[in-house]
Amino acid sequence: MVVSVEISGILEEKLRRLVDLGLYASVAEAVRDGVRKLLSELDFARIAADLYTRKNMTLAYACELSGLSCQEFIDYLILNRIQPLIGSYKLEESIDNNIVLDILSMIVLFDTGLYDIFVDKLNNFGIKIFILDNLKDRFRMIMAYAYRRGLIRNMNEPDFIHIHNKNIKIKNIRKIILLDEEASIAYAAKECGCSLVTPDIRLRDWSRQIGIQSYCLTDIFYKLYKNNLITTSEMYNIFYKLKTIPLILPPEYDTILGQG
Amino acid sequence: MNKSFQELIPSKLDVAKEALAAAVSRLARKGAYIGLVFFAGRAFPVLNLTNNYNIFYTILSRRIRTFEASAPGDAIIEASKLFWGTRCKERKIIMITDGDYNEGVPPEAAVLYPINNKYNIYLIILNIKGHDKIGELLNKYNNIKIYYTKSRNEVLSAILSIIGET
Repeated sequence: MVVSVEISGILEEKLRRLVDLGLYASVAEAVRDGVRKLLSELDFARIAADLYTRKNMTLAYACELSGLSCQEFIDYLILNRIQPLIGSYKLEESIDNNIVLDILSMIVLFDTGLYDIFVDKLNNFGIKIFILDNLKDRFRMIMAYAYRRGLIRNMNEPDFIHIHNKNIKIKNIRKIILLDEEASIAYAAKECGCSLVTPDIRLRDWSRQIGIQSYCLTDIFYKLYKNNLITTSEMYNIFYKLKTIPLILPPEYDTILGQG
Repeated sequence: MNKSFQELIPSKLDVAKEALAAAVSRLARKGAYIGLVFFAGRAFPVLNLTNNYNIFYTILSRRIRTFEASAPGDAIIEASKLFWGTRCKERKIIMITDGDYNEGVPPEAAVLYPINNKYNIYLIILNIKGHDKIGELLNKYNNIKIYYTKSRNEVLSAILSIIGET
């Protein structure tokens, strides 16, 4: 897409003078260089953090805007004493159907090394995990990186799903600022009758508003614990691993720690 | 999350453990070697320098018995000992403490060996008052950086900024 800008008056005169002096080959080149310099001087991380606190924006969108990786942006927020809204304040326990993972869930699972236990236990519980077809390459890249770091033992892939219905009508999209990918994942979950799993509190709230069941990873781990698929000592380990991100954990998790 | 420690249900120890968990995951990305010393009235070297990070989560998930007294000097000595015989380029000691000192080796004496050997020492003090014994004693050294924290968020922020310097 080409952007056309009208420049006139003193600014135009100054630009033409730069061309006359031989500093730039053309006015367009001078403008391009100016824009390049402007963008290099802007602190996108600060802008993204500022917007993240003021607007209803998902964390993945803010990360994309900041130009940092998810982990780097979370660290940037914490260093600036901003609490990233990831995790859950309240436990949701009624998970009974298959789930679709979003990008942030994948990052949390791989970065904490909980992917193996998550997949194994959910398979035992009879819940299938899906990932959107478009995210296949990204998923494999994150998984390969985690495997190289020794965070996972197996490179088991979940099932990938493809959205067939191209005419998805996105309602309430203006109420939240989110990535196209996140909207697609939410609608894929709706189309397939699955639940969306994301640690992002804002994304979960929005998807619930549009009638998509959504849960946090913490809800699933707690459900598995309640069904005796995860032992108390494993739960301790999970608690501290989730805290490394750091996710907000519901008070029930503190209760488990108190029991030991 | 911005509540001070007194208002939180988890104790200072839990806050320290959570901060430690976050620190280990960040240091793991950098491939750093990490050791661990717990201290109260005495210091206990729990883990030698290692890059087996999973063991940290196992240790953190265990219950730790706490004692009344506080011997930060002993902890600094034990932490310094972990570096003996290693060829680390950068040697950093991060101490998370409530700032009390009432037993063991005096902290001013304990820091002499690490300071002379160019170790960097970071103190994260979980104290809402903002002044404490250990901070007052070690304030004069250039190699020692002190962070006063009042909430869980501030502890996390302090520990991440220390790791950011690594």
